[in-house]
Amino acid sequence: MTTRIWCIALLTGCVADRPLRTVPVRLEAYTTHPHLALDTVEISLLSVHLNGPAATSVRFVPLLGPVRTAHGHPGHGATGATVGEWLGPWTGDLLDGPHTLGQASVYAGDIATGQVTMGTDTRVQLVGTVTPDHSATPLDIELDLTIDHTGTTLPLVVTVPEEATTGVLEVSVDLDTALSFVDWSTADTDGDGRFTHLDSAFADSLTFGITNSQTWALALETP
Amino acid sequence: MTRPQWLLLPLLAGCAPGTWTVHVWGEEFIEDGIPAAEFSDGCDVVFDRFEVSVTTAELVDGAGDAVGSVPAGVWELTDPGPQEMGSVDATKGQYATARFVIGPTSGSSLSVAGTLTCAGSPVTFDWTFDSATTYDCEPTDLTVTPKDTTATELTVHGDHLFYSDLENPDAVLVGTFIHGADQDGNGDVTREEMALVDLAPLGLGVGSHGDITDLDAYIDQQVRTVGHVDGEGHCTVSY
Repeated sequence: MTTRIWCIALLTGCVADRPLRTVPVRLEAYTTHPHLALDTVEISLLSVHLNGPAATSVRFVPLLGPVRTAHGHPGHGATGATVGEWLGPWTGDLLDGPHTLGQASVYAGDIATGQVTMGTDTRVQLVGTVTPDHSATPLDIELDLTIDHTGTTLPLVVTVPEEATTGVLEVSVDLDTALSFVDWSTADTDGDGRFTHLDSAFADSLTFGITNSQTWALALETP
Repeated sequence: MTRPQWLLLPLLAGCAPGTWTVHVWGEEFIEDGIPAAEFSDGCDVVFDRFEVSVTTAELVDGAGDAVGSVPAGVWELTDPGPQEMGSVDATKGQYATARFVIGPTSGSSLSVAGTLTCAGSPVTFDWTFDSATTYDCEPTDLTVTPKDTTATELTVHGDHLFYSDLENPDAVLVGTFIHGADQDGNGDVTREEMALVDLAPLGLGVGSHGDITDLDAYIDQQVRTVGHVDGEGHCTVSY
């Protein structure tokens, strides 16, 4: 019983007791799609949060079991305590990167997940050319993300050593994945020979792709 | 009885076990249906069958050990509830977790059938799911007292099948995306038809489940979220 009490005390111990580090946050996007030639991909980022293991680890068994998700109900994400954060906002062209967004504060210790937040009423602009069927079609989209995209929770299983003093938090964006959900063969719904916001097929598919957890990745490199 | 024997009675009562009783209930949404007022797009749904297979219902102490369990079974939640799953003696004390597993026994873990009506147009559905999901739940008070009964309810939320997002707390109920999956127009939506529906254009959110890209996989994931405790109490999901 005494041992158990000690374990609980450690697991519920204040995160702030751990050393606090600052690491630069770097944002980079990439695309290798043979039919997409992008000139501009402008987005706004609100924040990046890093979370410790879910509090359910205190319950002993789930920590050892195959816990694939901590979400049992919309809005009831049992993520762990916030152990790191970068606060924006930052707005810029992903294609001009890599960008250094500033410094993130990160406590030493275990990290389990991260969250990239674009925020409410964020505008994403994409300009370029698409050649889905060997004919180049201009792309010029301004997409309004009208819901708060805090749900883009990403795996980031890493331990920040207490002695670490350097490192970098990498945020990467796979634009090929972001645009892979659009059916380009039917996307020009108004038939004007351009992919624009007037083409109704775009909004939901692009939102799905840009906010998709497969599009974003986090990595915390420590020495 | 002499005085010393009388004095022992309270002590003996303190050693007596209590009882943990478990109920399962699908609430009015499963028994009576989900009215149009609950849906953001005016659809409504009535369930003809909502059969849930509970393979584990156990009381777990702080060390993670199961100290008692009630029998597994299959429960038809369109029948009036709450339905008693069973009872078990338990040593007095405060417990950490009520653990439930909704999983397959004779083929399916969840079997639902009903009618979804959108804009006056009904479609039927008859789906079975075979996933196994463990719900570790923390009721507000899970204290077993001697010679008394402590009750816990596994509450099943049928409306989750129609949520607009897998994780967003602002998710709303929508039905048109399922209604529109009746690709052969025969008035019945099958899981096979839903598997052919691309999720991206539907405006639904998947949160961290970015690998879910078709409607059938989306509903299959929602099935893993139906378990709750004592009404609105949330549980941690693992599978």
